Amino acid sequence: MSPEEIQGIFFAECDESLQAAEAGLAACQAGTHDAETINAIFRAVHSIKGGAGAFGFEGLQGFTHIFETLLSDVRDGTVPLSARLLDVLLRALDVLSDHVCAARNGGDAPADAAVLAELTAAQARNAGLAAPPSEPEEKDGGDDPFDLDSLLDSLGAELAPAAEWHIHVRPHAGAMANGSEPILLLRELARLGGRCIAADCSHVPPLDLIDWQAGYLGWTFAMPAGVSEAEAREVFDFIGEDCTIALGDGAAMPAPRLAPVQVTSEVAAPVAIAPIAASAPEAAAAAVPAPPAAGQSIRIDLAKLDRLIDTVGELVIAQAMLAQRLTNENVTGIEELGLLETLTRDIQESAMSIRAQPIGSVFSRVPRILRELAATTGKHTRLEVSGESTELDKTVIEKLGEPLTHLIRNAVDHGIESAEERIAAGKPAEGTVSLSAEHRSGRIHIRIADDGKGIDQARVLAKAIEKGIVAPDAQLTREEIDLLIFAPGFSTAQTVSNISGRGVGMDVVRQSVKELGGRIAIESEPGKGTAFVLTLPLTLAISEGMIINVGDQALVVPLASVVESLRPQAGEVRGLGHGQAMLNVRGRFIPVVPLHGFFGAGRQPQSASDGVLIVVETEAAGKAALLVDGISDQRQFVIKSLETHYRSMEGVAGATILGDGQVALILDVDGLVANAVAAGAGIPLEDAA
Amino acid sequence: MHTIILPERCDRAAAEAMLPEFVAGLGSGVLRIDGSGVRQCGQAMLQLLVSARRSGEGAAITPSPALIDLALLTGLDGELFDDHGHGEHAA
Repeated sequence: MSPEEIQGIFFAECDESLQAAEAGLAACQAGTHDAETINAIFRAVHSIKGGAGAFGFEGLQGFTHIFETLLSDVRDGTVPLSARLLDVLLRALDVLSDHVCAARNGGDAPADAAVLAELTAAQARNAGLAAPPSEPEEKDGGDDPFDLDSLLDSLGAELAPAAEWHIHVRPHAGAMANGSEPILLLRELARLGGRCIAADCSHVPPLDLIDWQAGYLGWTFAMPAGVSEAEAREVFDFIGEDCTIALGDGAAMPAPRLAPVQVTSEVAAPVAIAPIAASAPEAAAAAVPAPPAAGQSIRIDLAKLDRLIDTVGELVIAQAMLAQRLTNENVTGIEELGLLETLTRDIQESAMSIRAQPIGSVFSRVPRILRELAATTGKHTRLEVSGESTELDKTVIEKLGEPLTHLIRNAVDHGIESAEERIAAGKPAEGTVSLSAEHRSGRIHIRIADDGKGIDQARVLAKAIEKGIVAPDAQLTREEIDLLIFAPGFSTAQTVSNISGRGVGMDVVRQSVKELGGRIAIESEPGKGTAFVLTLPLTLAISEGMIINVGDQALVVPLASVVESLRPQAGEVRGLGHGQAMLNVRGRFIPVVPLHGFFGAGRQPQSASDGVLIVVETEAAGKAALLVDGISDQRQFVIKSLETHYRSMEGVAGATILGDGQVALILDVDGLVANAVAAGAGIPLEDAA
Repeated sequence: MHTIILPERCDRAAAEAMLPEFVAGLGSGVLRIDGSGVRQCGQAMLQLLVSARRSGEGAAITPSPALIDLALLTGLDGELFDDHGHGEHAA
């Protein structure tokens, strides 16, 4: 594994640690914390510090040191966890996150002086300490000039020689091979006040026998009495068993782990044999491979995982092609083929589950956004989260961050009222933003709701007319007026702010969601609040669909959109002027959308009863019935991007390869029906039978 | 006499790359190692330098300030630069 890969793991662990700390501080805010919560926050920050030291990120390491010193005092109960302190800790976490970003991207370290001063002051103020930040462990008598004991203690400390203790450090091959550098750990010991009193070079072989990968050197450092053994051990936390340490004056220098060396007659110089022979017992022990550490997870390069997913996609296609070929040859009822299909599906599900991640990783960035918004708008908002363990594909998660951020900013900036307005309206001064996620019908529903003033429809409509987005005499439903906020260039903000109000946010949100194969809907009630509901696919790679025939073409309708399919009886389909038709589905009329014209696929059936109607559910236009010639199959399909190979097409979500090798277009049912309805395929009529 | 010039960054990759050159220099007198440009040095290279000092007729190392700092940190200043191993300090 290259140093870059190891560093990548460190940064991935940083992200996890930041999330853990964020969750812990959120629990503290909610008052649901206990001692373990504080401990977990401390461990998270400490873990980042350890790695930062090992990789030489001094700015990050320095900041985490001060941060964890305060957390340590909170953990020990020396510093009480007040609301004010919590605010400092949350801001420190934000700066820490920026430090991690800077270390990862090689950018400038964030301006942390103000927060560092607050951290130090919080520790000194609450604990009655006046220790400088670089020496937080030293405790003197505080500000009380009459604290005689402390004065005597400090006087004694100055007069009496400090008792030192020793630590032996023996980095092994792994300490250098995993991208970390033992020298940096020695520097950390020196920073704690340690000094090297002995270097063990006795195991270093001559040049013709040296293995550049092995660890031959060992060191003994004398540490000042003020540094605890635990503090010294912490320096080596990140490097783990790749560096043996022994503490205390009675401890011996640990032996190196050296592989047995094949000494040939040509190189068997006496000077070479002596040190190797001396380490023979240790070498023999090292020759036995250590059992792998018991771990519950491993990290995988995402590119490898993507290759696996691609290959599984091809496997699904190959399996479908084999089944098709055998069917064409009239070879049916093969038990093994069914088994192959089951196994293929199992492999596919397993592969997809590897990519699945809890949506909590996206939700976890929201508290910081709310904190920043509180600082800029003065609107303090409480966050309620549910369903954060709901899993969906990593690619979807990665692309979800931006639209989610826009929606949260929009909710606070436009939705939540000022504290004065809220109190006047009989609401709590603090607004609430709730985030929820759940699986529903093979898709994920994400709801971002606020308890603000709701969408002012009169103002939205007036603005839309003013901007020429709709005609002045347009008759729009409540839902249609709400949807106007997604129109490009639309904004009702009185002033342009750096949060929202430039009219570029919401249409970008809709576009982002659309690119993910999802939909966005609005539920708004004046005075009560607004909710945006995102419906997204769980994965962007494989889906299930109905293969339909339209003229000479095979098309795929995603099964998530299909409600039912039927061959209508005479009288169930009625005309509605200009050749438009409506289907009576149990007393409710829905528009019939013929697909033949849209795809240029020959003549459509003379009447709907000559074809098959597929009833689909859409976000924008409700239900509609797609008129097709027939349904040939229902199966999983591998989604291939049309844009990658051709270009984006209205009404088409992508393409796939069918079992017979034919390319089939995947319908964007929502876009297709919305266009057809807008073009006059008919407005749904209720109870018109 | 052949002089081995150490790169600015003497990390593990540099140690791997330079080991053959070190070995090739054996048997032709005191190894001359120019470390005056070294700004960063890790344990792998440090071990090579110690080994070079202890191999054959020894090695004379011209250190940079960073190398001296490292030697002092690791207690290897005597091992690397004292005369008995043919080391030399360069101003």
